[in-house]
Amino acid sequence: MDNGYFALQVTPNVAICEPVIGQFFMLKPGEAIDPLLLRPFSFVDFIISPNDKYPNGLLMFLIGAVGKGTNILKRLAVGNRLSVIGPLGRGFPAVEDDENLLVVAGGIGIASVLGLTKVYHGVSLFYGIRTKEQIPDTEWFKYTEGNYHIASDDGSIGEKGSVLELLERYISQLRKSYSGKIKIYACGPHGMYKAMVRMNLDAEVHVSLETPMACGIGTCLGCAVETVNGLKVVCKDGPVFNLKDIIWDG
Amino acid sequence: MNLSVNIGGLGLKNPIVTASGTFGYGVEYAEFLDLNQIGAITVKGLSPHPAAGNPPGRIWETPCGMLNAIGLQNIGIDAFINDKLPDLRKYDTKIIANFFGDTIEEYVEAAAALSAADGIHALEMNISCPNKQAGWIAFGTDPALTEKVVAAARKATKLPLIVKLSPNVTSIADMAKAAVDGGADALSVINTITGMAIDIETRRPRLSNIVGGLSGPAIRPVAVRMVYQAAKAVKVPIIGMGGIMTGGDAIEFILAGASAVAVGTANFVNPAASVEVLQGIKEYMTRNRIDDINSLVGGVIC
Repeated sequence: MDNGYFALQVTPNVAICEPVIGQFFMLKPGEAIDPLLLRPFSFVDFIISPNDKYPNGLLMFLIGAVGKGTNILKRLAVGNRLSVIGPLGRGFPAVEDDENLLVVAGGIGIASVLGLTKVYHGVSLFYGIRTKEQIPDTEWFKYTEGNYHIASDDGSIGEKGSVLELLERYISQLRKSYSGKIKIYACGPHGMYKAMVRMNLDAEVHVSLETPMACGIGTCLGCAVETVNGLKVVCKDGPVFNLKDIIWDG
Repeated sequence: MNLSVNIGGLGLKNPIVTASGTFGYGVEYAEFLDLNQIGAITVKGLSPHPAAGNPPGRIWETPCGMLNAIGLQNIGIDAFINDKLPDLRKYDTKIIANFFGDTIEEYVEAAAALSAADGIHALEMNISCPNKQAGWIAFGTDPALTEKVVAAARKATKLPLIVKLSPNVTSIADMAKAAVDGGADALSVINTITGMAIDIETRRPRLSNIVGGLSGPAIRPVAVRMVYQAAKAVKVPIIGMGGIMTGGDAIEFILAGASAVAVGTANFVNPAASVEVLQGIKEYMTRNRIDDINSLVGGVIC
């Protein structure tokens, strides 16, 4: 893909636990000490049941090449070895039959929530991007069964403007015929989450946070965030949090 | 091959220690490696009362290293003894409790409380965290205050007392002497080096605390130099640390004068790093026909 995003497939050399959507893996190529630390990445899809081609399954990542570490990952050749730890953290909670789930993604946040469309077929996906070049293959959206809504900053695809406005309109429409619980599972930039707080959406919102991390397993305490329940670590208490629990720093 | 070492009365089956603050309370790592293989586990710094630490942004990666300003967040000594220690002492490894206080009285209180617990084999006194406020930093940078606070803690414990030195000083030799004069049985050299990183787009520091402690391979040459200088200044054993990633790195510290080594930031990169460092030490000894690790201590040829 020439949109700054790239796909990475990892074949584990040992059996892995079945991950929950919203959990993550720590990845790092080779033995280099610069960059030093592993980086957290959400998986976009996985094959867990062993088959002849993938005896320990397969992990698939969609990654934005934004910095030194991600660009090294982008340049990897088939057969290169990676350090991998995971699955880690707490993913999105299960959705009950009588609840209505809406999935929201901003930019590369699509990597973290796209898997929800596979678990909950036909779920509505709201995807905000800068421009149409950032759309991964529309094949990725097949599990929404056509139920995806796109907004782009430049109007080159979908509606011009904020995806949150699409979401808000959709909810008001939905509320005319549905009074039950609406859940929103979102992944995007933290600015998007702050906007969601301001909109006071008529829904229970769970979001996946991204912070710098060192260990990924809850020991270094480096990825702490302020919540109404005190400091929590994103790697172990999250990365998925109820939006109303997070205290934003201005 | 003899790998056992003695650190100021603390006998270790091998010279591998985990560095405080990089290995949680130890038990979290049991699923990644066999804790029985490590010489000693140093747990995260403990204070008499639970501490919340610094606000987030707490870490930032830098070339070959990382800055942290966790601020000594910990569950407190009582919770450690009641909730973590019972699981930890099941393992065949030595437990070193790292501790700190905000005042001399709190250092004494912490040393006494940890000494009364069952299953702690030594104390490591943290007088050198760069993420605490000015008054506290003096314990680790003013030799007279260092000697005073170490002497006070010394009276509160019969366990081997290891003092962890700050590298953020003009003369590590003077600080080593002050700690030994206060009654330290051994020294840990070094804690993190004070550093800073700035986001040039927002012009704000990367860490909420503005400054933080630099660790990882970036600081290794500084740490090796300080171990060398401290070892020449005092007779007590030294646990060398600062960016150790491999067995070869550990040997470098031992040749500089360390009797044991601590693996720190490497635990974040590879949770099993400590046992891999041990394996690397064994391979070096086999290759060089070294029978006793102690024969390498201070063996640098200058």
